[in-house]
Amino acid sequence: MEAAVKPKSSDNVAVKILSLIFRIIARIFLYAWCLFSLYSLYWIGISSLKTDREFFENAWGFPAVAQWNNYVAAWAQNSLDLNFLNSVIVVAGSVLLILLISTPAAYILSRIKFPFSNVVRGYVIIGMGIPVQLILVPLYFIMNQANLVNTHLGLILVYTAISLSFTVFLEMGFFHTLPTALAEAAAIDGCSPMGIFFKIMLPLGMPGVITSAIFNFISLWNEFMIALTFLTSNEKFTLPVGIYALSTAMQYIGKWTTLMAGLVIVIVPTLLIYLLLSKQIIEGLTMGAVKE
Amino acid sequence: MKKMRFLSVLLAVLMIVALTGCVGSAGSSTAEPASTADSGAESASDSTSASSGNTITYASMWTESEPQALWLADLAKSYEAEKGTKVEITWVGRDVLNQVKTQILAGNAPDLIDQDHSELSAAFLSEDEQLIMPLDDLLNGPGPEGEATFREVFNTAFLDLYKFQDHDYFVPYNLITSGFYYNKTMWDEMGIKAPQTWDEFIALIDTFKAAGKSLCAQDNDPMYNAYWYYWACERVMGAGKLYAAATDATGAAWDDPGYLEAAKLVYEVSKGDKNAFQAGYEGSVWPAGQQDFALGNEGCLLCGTWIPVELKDTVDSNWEWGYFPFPTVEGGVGQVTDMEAYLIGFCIPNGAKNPDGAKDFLLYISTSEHAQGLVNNALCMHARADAPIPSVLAEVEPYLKNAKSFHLSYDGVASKCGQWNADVFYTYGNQLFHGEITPEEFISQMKAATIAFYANK
Repeated sequence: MEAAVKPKSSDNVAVKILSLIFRIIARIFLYAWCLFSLYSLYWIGISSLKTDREFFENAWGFPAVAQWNNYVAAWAQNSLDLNFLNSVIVVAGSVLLILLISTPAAYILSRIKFPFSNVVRGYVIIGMGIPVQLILVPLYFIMNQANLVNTHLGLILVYTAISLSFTVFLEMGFFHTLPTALAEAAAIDGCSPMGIFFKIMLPLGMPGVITSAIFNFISLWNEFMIALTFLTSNEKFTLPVGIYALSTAMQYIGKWTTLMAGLVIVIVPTLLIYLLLSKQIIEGLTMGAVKE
Repeated sequence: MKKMRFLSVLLAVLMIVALTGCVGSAGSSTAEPASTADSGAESASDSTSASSGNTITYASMWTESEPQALWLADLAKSYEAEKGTKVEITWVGRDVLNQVKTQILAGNAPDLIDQDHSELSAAFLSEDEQLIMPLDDLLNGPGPEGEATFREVFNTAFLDLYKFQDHDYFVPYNLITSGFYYNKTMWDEMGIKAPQTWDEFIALIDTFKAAGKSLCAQDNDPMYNAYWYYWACERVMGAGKLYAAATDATGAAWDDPGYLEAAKLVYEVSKGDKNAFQAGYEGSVWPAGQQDFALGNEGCLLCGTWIPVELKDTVDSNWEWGYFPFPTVEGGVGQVTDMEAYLIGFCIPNGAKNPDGAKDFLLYISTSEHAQGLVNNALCMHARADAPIPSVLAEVEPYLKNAKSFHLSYDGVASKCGQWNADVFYTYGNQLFHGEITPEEFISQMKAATIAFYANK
């Protein structure tokens, strides 16, 4: 018997047209935004290679001769080399400490039941909802009392503290997706709980750990407010604070192209990470979203 | 299983400790006021460590790479090499007073602070309280190179301008004045001479328009816009009159016809009348105006002596800096021999750990040899009376040398009446400057707003 052919209803057509219109508008907006973002990066780049006169005389065009000395000036003469080193030390130290604490914590919270584990899990998640501006003042008092203001260690500890909630939450999602059967099989074979974690679960959950590292690196590399608050001497400034100091200095001596070069130096590492690891970042964001 | 339980509890505790960020006792209630992200305020136990006899701590208004900072950094190094005393400089930037005031009140003052004398005075000196040390003993003592007194190294008129209750509180090093800067090469090619009177100045508007340019560039920064009315008041009525009107809570000062006459001068150059400025000046954002001037599109710029440094990389190789003071007005009180003296210098806060070291450093940097460094490297005028003038400011020199009197920049209004300046003067001054209100409207609104300002204070 032939199946009856249902005629398409007008409602279905209207929905499809509306959906198509929405997709077109969304794409126009996204392409426009991409163009704007790419042009901004391009403009900073070409401006960094101009003379200061060209910067104003020929704002939108190419430089006549590329002025690479702007990068030398920004890097060496304005302490961006020192700021860069400070950023590497602080961010690498923070990311390492964050992973050291958050990875085992996330594993335990996602896979092990213990008294009040739900309470602890909730406590961790609540931490994500507290804006750092709210705790900045008491945090400053605490760090000042401990003589940790204007130190790398102090900033590493602050960055670690404010990043743990999100990182634990993110890694919990990863560890939760790992098959329980593997852990059970290992236990049957006599593997200790520590062994299960280090030899089986951690290697399997490494994509999540790497994703957490990437997220934290990107956010802490660009972090400005906390660094400005807790670092008070020029030799301790991280890159974002160094750029702020550079922009203040450059405006008083009219070296706008040196400032542009400084901006490129700050943007490049983050941009490279996004370009090289964008697939992993997106995978990390969506992994664990769908239950098995 | 027991091991797992123990591990899980241990990890959870570690996590809680890490999350609360407990790194020490938080019981003290005497901690200093915390910093904010906007001001980036320093802690009381920050990099300006408690100084000893071998250290001088100095919070500077400059940022690290500015020419003035490089000059001071070199002097600090040579001072340490010669005297064995380290000068620890924190390059705070223009916000230095916001930050050090907290330190002073918390009892952790640096030994030296530098800034514009007017701002130092406004921040640290009041009838009720003086947060900085008088420096009469230093200035009345021997000079850095055997002079009978340190005071005679400077133009005493400068020092007297900033006395407070008959005491000296500052040692200057940088002299700044304001006026019109122009490209002599361009003006010579156009066959134009620098104007001395207001009528000569106004006549140049049409001259430059005929050449396809505007007479003046303007950045539409409230501080730069305010130059025009402040100077107009000075030329019409003399120094001190704008300050008198700013501090008259009754508003009666504004009834003096001189203020209206000054407002008419400003209106005459605005878009509401002859428009001396580049198209769209009322919407310009710094530094577009001054950079456009450096590209040769306008004839002159009313600014301070820092402008040659700010534009040195934009002007072309044929540019020759010229200067003329704000023109005089027929029947006016102020003359070209009445010059502005904006001084940048040092003060020593109360509670400084090493005031003697700080004073010694001030003597050291004030020698003629060291003053030359500021002139040569930063293209700035040093406050020493015998210091040479940088070549880019050569045309300023005769006016300074022949000056019969000096007055504060903005008549002292910007530093001593900061809130009135921002809430009242900038508001209506900008409207007058843009030609949005007439001079009569400006005067009536200034009077009403001044009365309201003091009534609400």
